[in-house]
Amino acid sequence: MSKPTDLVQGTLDLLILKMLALESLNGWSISQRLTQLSNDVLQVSDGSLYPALHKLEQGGWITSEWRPSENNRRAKFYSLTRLGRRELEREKANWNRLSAAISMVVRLQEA
Amino acid sequence: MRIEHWQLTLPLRLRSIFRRARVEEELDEEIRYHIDQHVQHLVARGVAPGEAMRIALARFGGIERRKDEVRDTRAMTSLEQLGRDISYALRTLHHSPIFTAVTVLSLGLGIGATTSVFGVIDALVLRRLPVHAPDRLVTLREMLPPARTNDELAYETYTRLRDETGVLSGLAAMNMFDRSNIAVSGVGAGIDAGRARVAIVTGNYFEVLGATARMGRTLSASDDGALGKLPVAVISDAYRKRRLGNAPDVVGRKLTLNGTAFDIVGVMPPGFTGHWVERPADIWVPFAMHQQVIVELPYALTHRNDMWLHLVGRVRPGVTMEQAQVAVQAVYQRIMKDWAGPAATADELREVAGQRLSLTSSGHGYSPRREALAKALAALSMVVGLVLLVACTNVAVLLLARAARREREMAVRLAIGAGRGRLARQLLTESVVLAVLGGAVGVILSMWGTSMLSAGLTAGPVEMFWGRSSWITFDAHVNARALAVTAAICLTTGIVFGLAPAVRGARVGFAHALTGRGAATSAVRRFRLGKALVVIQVALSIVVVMAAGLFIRTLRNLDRRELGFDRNGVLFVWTQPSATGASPSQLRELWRTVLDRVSSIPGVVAASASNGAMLNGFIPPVARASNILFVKGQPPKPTNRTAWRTFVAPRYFEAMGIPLVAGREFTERDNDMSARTVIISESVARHYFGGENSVGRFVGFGSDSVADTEIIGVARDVIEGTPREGALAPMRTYFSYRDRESARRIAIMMAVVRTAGDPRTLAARVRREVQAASPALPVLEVDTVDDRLADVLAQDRLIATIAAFFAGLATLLACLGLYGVIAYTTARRTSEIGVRVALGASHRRILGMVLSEGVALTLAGIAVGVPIALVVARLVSDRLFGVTATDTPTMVGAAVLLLAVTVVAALIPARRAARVDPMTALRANT
Repeated sequence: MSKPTDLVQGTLDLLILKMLALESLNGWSISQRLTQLSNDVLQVSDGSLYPALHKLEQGGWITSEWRPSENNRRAKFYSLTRLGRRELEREKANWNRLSAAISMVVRLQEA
Repeated sequence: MRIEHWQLTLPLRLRSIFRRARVEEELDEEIRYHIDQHVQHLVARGVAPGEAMRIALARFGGIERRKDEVRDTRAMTSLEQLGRDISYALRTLHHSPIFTAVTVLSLGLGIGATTSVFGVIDALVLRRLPVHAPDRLVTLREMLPPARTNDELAYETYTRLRDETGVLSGLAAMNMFDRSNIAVSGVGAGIDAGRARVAIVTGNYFEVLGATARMGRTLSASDDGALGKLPVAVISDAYRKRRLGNAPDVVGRKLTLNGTAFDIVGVMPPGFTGHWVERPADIWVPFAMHQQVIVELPYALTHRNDMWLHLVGRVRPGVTMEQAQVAVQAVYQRIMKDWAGPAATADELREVAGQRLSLTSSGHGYSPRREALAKALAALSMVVGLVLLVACTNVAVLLLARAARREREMAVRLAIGAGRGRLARQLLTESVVLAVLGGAVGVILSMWGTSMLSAGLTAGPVEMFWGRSSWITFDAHVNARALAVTAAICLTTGIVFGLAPAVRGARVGFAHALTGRGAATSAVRRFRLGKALVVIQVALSIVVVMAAGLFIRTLRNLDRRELGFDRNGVLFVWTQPSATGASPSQLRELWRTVLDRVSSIPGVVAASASNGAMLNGFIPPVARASNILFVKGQPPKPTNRTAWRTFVAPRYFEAMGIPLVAGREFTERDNDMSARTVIISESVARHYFGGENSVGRFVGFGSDSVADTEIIGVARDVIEGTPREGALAPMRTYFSYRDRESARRIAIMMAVVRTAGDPRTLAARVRREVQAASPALPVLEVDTVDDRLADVLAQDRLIATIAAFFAGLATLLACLGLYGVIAYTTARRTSEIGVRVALGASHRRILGMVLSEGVALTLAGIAVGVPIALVVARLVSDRLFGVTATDTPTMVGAAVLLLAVTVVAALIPARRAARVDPMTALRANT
């Protein structure tokens, strides 16, 4: 298994928002999904997930509620708000711009 | 989008503030859930449970740290942060209770004291009358050489001034009288046996003042007319509330006074009580009705010798004060010359030319008391200003000392990552919390202080000239402006000095605090400021302590002054026969009846009466040379002393305890049918007869053509008005109450009752007997000499009390400041002291070393303060009695007191320093 790449805080936000756009999840599930969907490339340090989640909640982009999870234990589930959806679009656009720019620079022919 | 944003986040934020415990629990649960899921996941993969837990925890990272990070995201909201800062500030303050208590108290006292004094000053000096254009109002005063003033003029003067001066758009005249037994018709009325203040005003009074009625109408020029023909009255709102139960249908009711029914035609708005500041009027009646009000007088007071009207006018727009003054003076001179007549001598004309009628701007109302109190209030404000300064410097010193102590804490916090801004914000919050607490204490103290001061200022002697109104009301409440200003001053001090360490740290850095090296130099350097502040505090304290000493001695001197009569075992009963409506001849019989009844009370040794008032605080003005009397067969011998003529009943001198150095007392046989008799005081006898016997000699008075009054006795001089009388004590002549000229004069009666035992035990009985003798006779007060003196000296006592209070306060604050500084510097020098002790210094030497530092600061403060104290003492020197402003014992005493107290304050840290164990001192490298 290759080492998980360090993620910039901003992209963690983007990933979380995208996950929640697909369905409501709790913290553990988010971390699992991310690992699964990215073929183990993206392994978020569990601890840094929660500050990010709470910050997003403070900002009003996601909301939370306590629900019983699949094993009937109570867990805190997050979902995307309308504001969050708009923020997601913005972040996606930013990311696309950024990655396009990086690709362009990297593809430059070496002398 | 913004609103939506807030809709989502606000409940969250509120929840994290108010439901913190719950929120923390949830976070805990969330994280535990995560860890448990992870463990389960690993166990399902075949990892051992213990190992799984370890991995999960490791993968998670430090739980507490993560929790903190989560909390930090929450703390982004400024409101929460503020709340946290405040609770932190409160906790740190809680840990240093003495510091907190002293600082809050200092601030509170500074704010409270200044606000109270300022509130009183505002009520008395600064508040403007609730009338139209108050700046244009003026009151008139006669200035008679050499130094006499007279506020009461005759009706003829008034009418001529009113008609002949063009510069005044209106001139009104008024005076006030205490009346009782007033009945009002209608619901909730009845007879009020208490006092009401009736103002007799010319019709244009309200117009001149520019005041309109709230209900009905005011009096107007149409209410001036034939005497006795216009029984209308206007009442004040306060009177309506007080007596008529706030009834709304007052207009149209009848008010009966002395048997005359007045129609109430109007009610003034609340807050308007005339232009005489400390004597609010209850009822206004037109001048035409004055005889019905002052029934004791048998004729109308329109003669030019009846000087009884206060004049108030309004200067015409466009005319300056100077122009008005000149114009009025010209008319006045004309009037006076006309009165002197065509046969006036050159001397008389010269005298007239020297008289002036001055206009005083009265936008703040007419207030003789304000003038009397001006100096006292100025002194008081100075004292209070000083105390405010002392309080602020104290707060500054304490904050600086505390900041120096906390250097280490600041350095450590900076080192582990707290932001500079954050620290500064914390310190600021602390200072603000302190300031707010101090402000709260200040508000409470200012309410208490204002009421205490108001009570002190209203206490004072009652004047008793033919029924004229005398009691004083004072309406001061906590002054919002003053509160705001002083609070701002104190809070600024607190904040500035509270932030000082943060500012300093930002520049210099806190590294030295951590290493412990370089601590001594920088700290001591800073503490020069602290030491300077302590010196200032001590200086200010000595000023206040000295002032207090002078005032206290003044009070004692006044209280102990020999009055010339027997102080003990006597009651004074103040009554107003004029209020009964008795005619002059009936008054004599009234006196007789009352005295007979009182004499018959068991325990009463002697009962008599006079028409003067004893110990009423009256200081006779400087008189011009006049003849009190002339002696048969001798040339006239004028004197500058005022002449006081008193009408007394038989046994007066016995009842008063005034020794008769020669001759006898009056009896019932000395009346208007027999030959006229007089008793003179010793000073009169000395002036006119030298050392010779005067009993049996004949003298004449004033307009007598023949000296046919026989001197039947000589009485010792007494102090009647106030212990401050001194060299200006009037020369007294006493006449029998049945004398031919007594009729008009015995409208006030002060009964003197000498008792065998304690006079207080008979006071109630005496009052009953007097009342029984004449039910309509208002008994105003029944006092002992101590009660009277307490009243007369009330202001002196107030000033002495306040000065003593502030002296104690300033000294306490100075001590605390000194303690703070010495404690701090010795703490800093612990290692140095340890070295000294290790090298053989005795405990006594250490003690001496620290003490001498404290003593040096105190001496410096005293040296600075004494010259200031001398200057201040000179400023208040005219309130002193029996002590000079530069009284040496007082000054020395103040210095010694301050020194002793500060030595005690420095003793505590000194003893702690002396007990320093060299080993522990050297190990601690601070």
